[in-house]
Amino acid sequence: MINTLGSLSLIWLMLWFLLTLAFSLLYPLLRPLLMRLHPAHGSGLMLLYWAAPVFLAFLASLMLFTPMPDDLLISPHCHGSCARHAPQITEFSVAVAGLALAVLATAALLGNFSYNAWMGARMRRQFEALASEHNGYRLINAPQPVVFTLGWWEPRVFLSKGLLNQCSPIQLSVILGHEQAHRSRRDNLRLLLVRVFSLVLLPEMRKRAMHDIQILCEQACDFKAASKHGAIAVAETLVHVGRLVKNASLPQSSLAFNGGDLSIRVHALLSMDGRTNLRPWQLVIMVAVVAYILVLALDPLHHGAEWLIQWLDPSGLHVH
Amino acid sequence: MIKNKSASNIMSTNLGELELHVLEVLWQKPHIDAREVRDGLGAQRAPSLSTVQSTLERLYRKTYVDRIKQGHAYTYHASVSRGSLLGRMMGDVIQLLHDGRMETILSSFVQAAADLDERSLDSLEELIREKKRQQLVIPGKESKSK
Repeated sequence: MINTLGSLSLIWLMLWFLLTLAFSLLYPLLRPLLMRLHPAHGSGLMLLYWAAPVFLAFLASLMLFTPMPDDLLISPHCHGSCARHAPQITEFSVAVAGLALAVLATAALLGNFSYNAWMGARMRRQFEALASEHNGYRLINAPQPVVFTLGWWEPRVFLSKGLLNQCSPIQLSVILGHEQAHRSRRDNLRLLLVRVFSLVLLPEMRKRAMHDIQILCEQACDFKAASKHGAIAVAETLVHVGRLVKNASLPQSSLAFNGGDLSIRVHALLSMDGRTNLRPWQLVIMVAVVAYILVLALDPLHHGAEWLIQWLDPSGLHVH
Repeated sequence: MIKNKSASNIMSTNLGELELHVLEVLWQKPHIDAREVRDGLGAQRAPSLSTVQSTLERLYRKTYVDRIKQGHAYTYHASVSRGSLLGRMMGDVIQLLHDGRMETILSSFVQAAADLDERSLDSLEELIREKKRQQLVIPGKESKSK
């Protein structure tokens, strides 16, 4: 049992590493396509893209250990005996090491997720305790012009009095429309998941992935607000709020705005008709292609796993 | 006896929900003892007296409240104003947005960073005005971009 679990864990970890590498290398090629999609679709696909290495690796590893009809997906071969077999480590210590590594990796991901989830929930409770409930948002009696959405499953929109007093009713409606979109899309949770799944990426790639999905989420909410108020009203509100926060006497002297992001969002709004919508049949084709590749990859994966096991445990594969 | 403590080390994020509710009671009615604080919390969330006492003790240690000994009991009052605490919490939010540490915990309409100047904002406004002019020239375009 330990040998099987250890083998499965080791194969999963190796595949996860290799797929992460492959997805990182492919990302610069696929990124322009993702960024050209409607941001609501692009952000969803990007979450799937960065979640794929860990889950595809796990699925492929499970399939390697699932009994299948002879010669269906794995080419026939023998290691002393010619019986149907899964790649298996026989050395107990190697198997335990594989299992321990997998447990550690899973605990690291879950730990990071739980810590951030706890921090977010605590922060939300703190603001809720001091904010007063209004129609669709919580008002914070503070002079700084700030609006934000906090929480995971049931996010809440928090708006400061400083911002409320300096916006027209239409601008306020645009801001609340944008934040309500974050709320209904559960963007905080979406971003947290990408943050956790991208933990294994190199720092530069991780930063880029996080920034890209953040921009897509913001654009998705801008587009949602624009569907009610028009792209120009949303763009004007963005610049207005940008100017307000920039001119506010904030605690940090160097504070200004993310001009690059604000500019990208305004440009995206003014050309929002040019974004491509992802059709359901395109999604079905994508899933089918991934499934097909996964099935085709089983044979090389089986032999690759056996090569890895033989390298780690030279006495291993000859006994089934 | 009043112990004066500096409030400069206050970190808004180290306050729990009950601590914030206790502070809320003290802002509304300062110089009250633990029993009165418990009464002020209302029937819905009233914890036991010992829980309120330990919450007040924690708040005192964190320098959010001061206390005066009157006979055998202490009376408490907030040493930080509501506005000041909220200001700090908002400052935390802005800082978290600024340095990107909590980019996944909250979403904001406009995120803070350090690379926008007045000229960039002016040119964005000009761009929007230009788009508006285009839409006036081509009637019906506005409804399409909605």
